[in-house]
Amino acid sequence: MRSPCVRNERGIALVVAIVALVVIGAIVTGTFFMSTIEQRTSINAAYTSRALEAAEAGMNSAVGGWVPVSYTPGTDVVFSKTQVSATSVGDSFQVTVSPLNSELLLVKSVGTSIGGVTQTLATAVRLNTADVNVTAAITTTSPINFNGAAFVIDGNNADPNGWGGCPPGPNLYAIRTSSNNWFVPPMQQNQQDNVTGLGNWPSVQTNQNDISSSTFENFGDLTYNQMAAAATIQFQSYENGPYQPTPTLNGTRCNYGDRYNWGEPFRTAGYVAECQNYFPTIHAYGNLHLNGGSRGQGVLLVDGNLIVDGGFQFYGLVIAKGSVNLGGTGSDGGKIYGGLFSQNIVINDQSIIQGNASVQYSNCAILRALQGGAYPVPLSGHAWTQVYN
Amino acid sequence: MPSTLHARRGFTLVELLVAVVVLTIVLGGIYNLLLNTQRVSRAQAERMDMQSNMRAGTLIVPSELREVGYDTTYLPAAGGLAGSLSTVQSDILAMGPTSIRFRAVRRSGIICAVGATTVTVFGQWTTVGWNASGYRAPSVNDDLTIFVEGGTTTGADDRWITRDIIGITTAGVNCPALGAIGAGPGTQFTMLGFAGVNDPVTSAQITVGSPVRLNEIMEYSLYTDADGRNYLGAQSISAGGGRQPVLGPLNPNNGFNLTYLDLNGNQVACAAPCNGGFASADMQARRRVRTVGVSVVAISDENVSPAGTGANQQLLDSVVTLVTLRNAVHR
Repeated sequence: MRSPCVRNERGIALVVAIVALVVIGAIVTGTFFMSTIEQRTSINAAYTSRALEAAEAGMNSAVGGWVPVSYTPGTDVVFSKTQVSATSVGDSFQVTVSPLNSELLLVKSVGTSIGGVTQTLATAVRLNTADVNVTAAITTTSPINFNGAAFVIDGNNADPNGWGGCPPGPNLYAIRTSSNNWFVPPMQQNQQDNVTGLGNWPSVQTNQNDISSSTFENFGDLTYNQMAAAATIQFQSYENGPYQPTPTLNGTRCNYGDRYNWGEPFRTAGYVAECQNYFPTIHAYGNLHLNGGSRGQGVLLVDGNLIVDGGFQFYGLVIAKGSVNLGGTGSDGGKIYGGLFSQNIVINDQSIIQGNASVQYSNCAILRALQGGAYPVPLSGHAWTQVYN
Repeated sequence: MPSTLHARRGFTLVELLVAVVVLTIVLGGIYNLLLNTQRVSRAQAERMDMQSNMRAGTLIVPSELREVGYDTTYLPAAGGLAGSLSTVQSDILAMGPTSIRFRAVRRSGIICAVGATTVTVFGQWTTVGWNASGYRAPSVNDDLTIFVEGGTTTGADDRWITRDIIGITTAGVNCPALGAIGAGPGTQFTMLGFAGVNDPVTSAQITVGSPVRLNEIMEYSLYTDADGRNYLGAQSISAGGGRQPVLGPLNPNNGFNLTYLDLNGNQVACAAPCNGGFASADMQARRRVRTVGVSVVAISDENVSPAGTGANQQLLDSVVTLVTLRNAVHR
């Protein structure tokens, strides 16, 4: 008879404990849920910030480390990086440079952080291009010392062999100088036959008052010193050569990091196609000697004297503050396609052209070189923008 | 039967008292545990709300301020040149320690055609693409900032001008292909003209391919709402709308505080509202601003007990961030 009594003596401890556990569990679960949401929101915000930073890193590296290629309207240039910095494993950016017209480009950078969050930034830049008034194949201030009769100075416009899309250009004089005499006597008849171009034979203009020190210093918005400072390849005053620049590859891409890679001007078999659009600006603080059957293109600025022989060929614009010595025999003659400015700033300094050297005016080579040598300047005031797609 | 009754004895009074006391202690403990848990939970929720507020403050305000830049006015009569400091007009229209009024970028685009008083821009509101970026449709209340190329052989006369929009047309508006941008629908913006009071700009100086920015004049400020609490409010000045709370509640004393720094990191002094016009000392001060310091001090919505015990109190947390004005650093 005890068992019914025991059944009736039920407690409430278990019920209370269960209710308490349920209530505490609900509160803890609710807090945990809210914390999880908060954590995810924070992580997403962090990913968004990282993506924005990656995009900005891409944009800054594109503008700051401008690749001196010839940007053609209608053709985008794309490059990317999979890790922005040593501390941002997994973050990446992809930059697209889109020419908008002949002066403006849009640099768009898509940053992606781990977690797949993307942010897009863009900046509009203006290509700061030197405005060089080329009026002759050779522009100089002193008489030139000619040796032999195998050289060629030609002011008639000629497109480099195999270069496509060249705009028409005018024929110019072979030589224009501010000096009374354009050559150092004696000068033979057969030597003068090699100086061709605009106007009567020989194609020369002397006593040109428009040629002054400013001709070699000021190029539109840019000065010689600004162009030199912006040059992507620099040779110190003690680095005089002789050098043999040759286009090289880094894997399957043109090796922009090689200071002896000055682009590829050739379009014949065996040429390095990946570097044909690469037009660096090269600056030498002192004298420079180039030879070795090598080649390059772009803008070459030499503070001292320039020697080109041994078959070296350069396509573009050459400005030498000192004298220029173009020489070499047979196929070893130094050659310049584009335009040559020789200031001869040293008293009694003379440029020498001899052997099989040649200077061929080429409007196309100069335009491409100047375009490649241009550097970007953000459109002050409103260049930077966030892109919402 | 007596033997049966004897076997079913009840509890003594002492036993009952002991049981009640023990039960009271146990229930009291459980109640305290529940109460503390609930208080901690509430405090935690309040703290998360505050942090969410502050996070919003560090995301919204900097993202709005980041693109603040400036226009440049060409003053040929005064011999001034584009870019000279006296002619720089900042996008910051007024500034003070608890409020800032500025042009906020709402869209960006590329010009595909220029008329006497119009520019046509690639893309329409529904278009997605890099050349038609934005997060809302354009409005006639907005204004348009246009890049002026001037002479194409020099960058010295390049500048941006801002003009009011008086008409927007999309029907039948198409843009031809431009470089890598394909042909497609466009948006035509009409203005009274390009020439400004201080700048004789003509349509010939604006080139196809130039960028434009669509702006809305916004004001962010600390204000006291009808509930007596303080919030960060956003107000579209150009659209004429009312002030809307963006985040809060904030500390009434220093809930939203702005500092303005120049190129060298020194504070730019200018008495609020610092909204003087062209060539004023206020404008000279505003154009010197390169970085804006944003401080948000949030308070909890209710008084809570952070540890679950002790008196309820108002929680308080803060965050400070510096915003570099990306478009004000290149001059």
